[in-house]
Amino acid sequence: MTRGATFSFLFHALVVLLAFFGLPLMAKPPEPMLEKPILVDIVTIATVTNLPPPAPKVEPKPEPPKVVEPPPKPEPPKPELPKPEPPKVVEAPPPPPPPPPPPPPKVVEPKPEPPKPEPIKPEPPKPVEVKPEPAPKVAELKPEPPKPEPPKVEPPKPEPPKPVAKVEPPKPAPPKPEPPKPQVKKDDTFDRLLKDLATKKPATPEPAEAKKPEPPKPQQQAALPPTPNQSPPPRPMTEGQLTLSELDAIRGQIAQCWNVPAGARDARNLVVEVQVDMNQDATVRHAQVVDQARMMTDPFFRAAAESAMRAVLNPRCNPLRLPREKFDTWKSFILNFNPKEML
Amino acid sequence: MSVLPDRSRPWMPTRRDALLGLTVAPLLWSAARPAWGELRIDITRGKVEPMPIAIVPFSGAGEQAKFGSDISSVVSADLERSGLFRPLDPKSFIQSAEQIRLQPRFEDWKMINAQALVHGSVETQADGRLKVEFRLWDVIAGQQMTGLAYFTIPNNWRRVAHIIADAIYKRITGEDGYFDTRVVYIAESGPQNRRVKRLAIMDQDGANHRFLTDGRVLVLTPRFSPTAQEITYLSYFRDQPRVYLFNIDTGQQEVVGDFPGMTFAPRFSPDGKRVIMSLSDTGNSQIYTLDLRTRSVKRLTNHASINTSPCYSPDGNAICFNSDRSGGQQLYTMDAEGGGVKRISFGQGRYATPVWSPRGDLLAFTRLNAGSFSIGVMRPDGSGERILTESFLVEGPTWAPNGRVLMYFRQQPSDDQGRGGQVKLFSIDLTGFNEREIITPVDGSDPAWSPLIP
Repeated sequence: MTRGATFSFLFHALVVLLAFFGLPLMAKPPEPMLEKPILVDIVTIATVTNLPPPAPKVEPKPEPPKVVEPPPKPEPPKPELPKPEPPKVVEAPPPPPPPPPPPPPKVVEPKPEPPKPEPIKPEPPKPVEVKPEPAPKVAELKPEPPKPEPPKVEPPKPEPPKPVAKVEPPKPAPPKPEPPKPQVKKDDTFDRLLKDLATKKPATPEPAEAKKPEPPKPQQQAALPPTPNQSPPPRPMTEGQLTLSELDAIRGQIAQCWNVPAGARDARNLVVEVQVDMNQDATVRHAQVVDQARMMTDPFFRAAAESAMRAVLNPRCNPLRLPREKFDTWKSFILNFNPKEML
Repeated sequence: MSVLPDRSRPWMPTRRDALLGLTVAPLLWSAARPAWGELRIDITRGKVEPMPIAIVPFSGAGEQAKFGSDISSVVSADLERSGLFRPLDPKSFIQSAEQIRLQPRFEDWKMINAQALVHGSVETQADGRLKVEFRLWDVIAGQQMTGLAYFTIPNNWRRVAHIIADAIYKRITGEDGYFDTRVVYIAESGPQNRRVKRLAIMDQDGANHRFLTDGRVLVLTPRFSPTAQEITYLSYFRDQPRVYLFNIDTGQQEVVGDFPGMTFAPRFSPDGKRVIMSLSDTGNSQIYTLDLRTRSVKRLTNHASINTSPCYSPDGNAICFNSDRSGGQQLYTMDAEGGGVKRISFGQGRYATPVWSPRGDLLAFTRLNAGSFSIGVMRPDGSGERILTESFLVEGPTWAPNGRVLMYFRQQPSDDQGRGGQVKLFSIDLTGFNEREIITPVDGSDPAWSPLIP
């Protein structure tokens, strides 16, 4: 009896001792490793979640957006995206006025050689290619020496939009009073580049259209994960990052300038990346299609690439609505023109 | 105290955490890594609107000035009709034609929102021919996109204008143009119960219209040869519908093959060496090909049902047709030898007159559903069906040689007194936008688009 009790006691003691000394020992080794990954993750996630708040903050209407509240963060991006945008737009206009017009995009004034090349020789009865080499090159190199021209270039920028206002007006003007509506309208026109009467008819068009705004959202959200990461951790702090609404503003602005090659063969596969270098006044200093090789060989791609380049260099899209104080973030970036979702 | 937290943390979860950390961290890191390099913005929306293009009247001295302005107005009209370009009003131009010849001042053109600029000149050569030269500039990039010169006899100025429009279209869109083409169609006149139907031909823009037949016999379904100025069509020979060939240059007509029954729904093969058509002698119809050189005939379908409206894929390896073998009239494809038959249309109603796009990516068809006709396109495997236009009666789609534009005819309903019932030709962009009427001197149906004129 007592022997059994002793055994039992000793055994239990042993177990307790083992538990006391053994477990911690076993647990300890992994510990140092634990904290590293976890902590790092938390930090990045924090910055991720921090992203949206700046937008609500700027926003005047919403409920008092108290400091840094986690709940509001996740929400605003989903349903309320449109709202964050208006402030952006409002914010954007100011920049243009303070015209720090150093070098305009590209003033192609100089004429080292009028590309008016020697008249084509009348030898061939067939078409003859005439190519004035100099012009293009000049155009690219010129930006540096700012010409006295700038004033001339500036005025058109604000004005041109008006003539083309048919499609656009909703964009710049309305955002202030009632942001959501212009948003919807814009989506309408972008909706379907390929018409299909069959789908249009049966579906009650209005609701369908009204809902359209939804899809873009997920899409923006899909874009979300990358964006936070994009603001480089090495850079100072979250302030350097572009907020979702800032990104949306740029997307919207460029969308107004991009004429999509809708009916082209395999248009879905004509995804064009353009490397853009910016001036401090948010005008494009230099832009180049990344895939130059394909540009040389594939006329369809070349056409698509040129349409993307026209969007980037379009006077209507210069300057871009970028927050000037975040120049470091956007002084150089890649625009990825992807018509897939529209076709 | 310091020990407690350790003990309170069970080791199992922590190890899992560690594992998690080990697997997830690299993922996150690798995902984040490329983004560090550069900001990247996806542009997934845009708009479709005609490109503003400035077409400066071509310069020329004396008599050539007339040619110059005529040519540039034809170019301008061609591009405008495509729906992809919006020629700007010459009154808004700031820089004069003479100044442009030295060097376009792109700022002036940006000012009026032009994205492309075309200018050119016309000169008469010593031998009396015209030399027409033009340049196309990308205004925004400030670069020349193309520059070409053509030589031609003065009477040919219209064709040169179309060729220039094609060159501009091709350079900007990447696709071949379709302006230097012609259209044959059935010109209809007279009351509904005694229609006179003549074969007629015109330029794609309606110019140079002329009749090819005199209307004494009924003609139907003309189709252009993809390689020559030749048409195949259906006419009546001893009250039997028969397939004919018509040579546009010589005006010569001939019956294709000598068959016991009636032949109809002819089309050329892509190489122009064969005609594919339906032959009916026993109530149902089968598909045959006829070699135009050897006159040898080959039967492709053998099914106790109606098989008709055959058409070749542009590579000549496949054939589309319609058949009622499954009950309703639906579209099918098969290989060029008649094997591998596959049904591709599954929608409501009846499908008819399939035509393979010259660029191979789509089939156009007529669909009859719930009492109304529509013209649509689908991929050759039957996916991606889209209806482009719908009406009381639309029928007979034909592709522009670049596979971008369709032409067809539309008939208005007529009342019981025989009023109404006008038939007109229309064209529409593949995207379903830019529907335009083709102006013809009389009513027109059954258009067939020619290939680019060689």
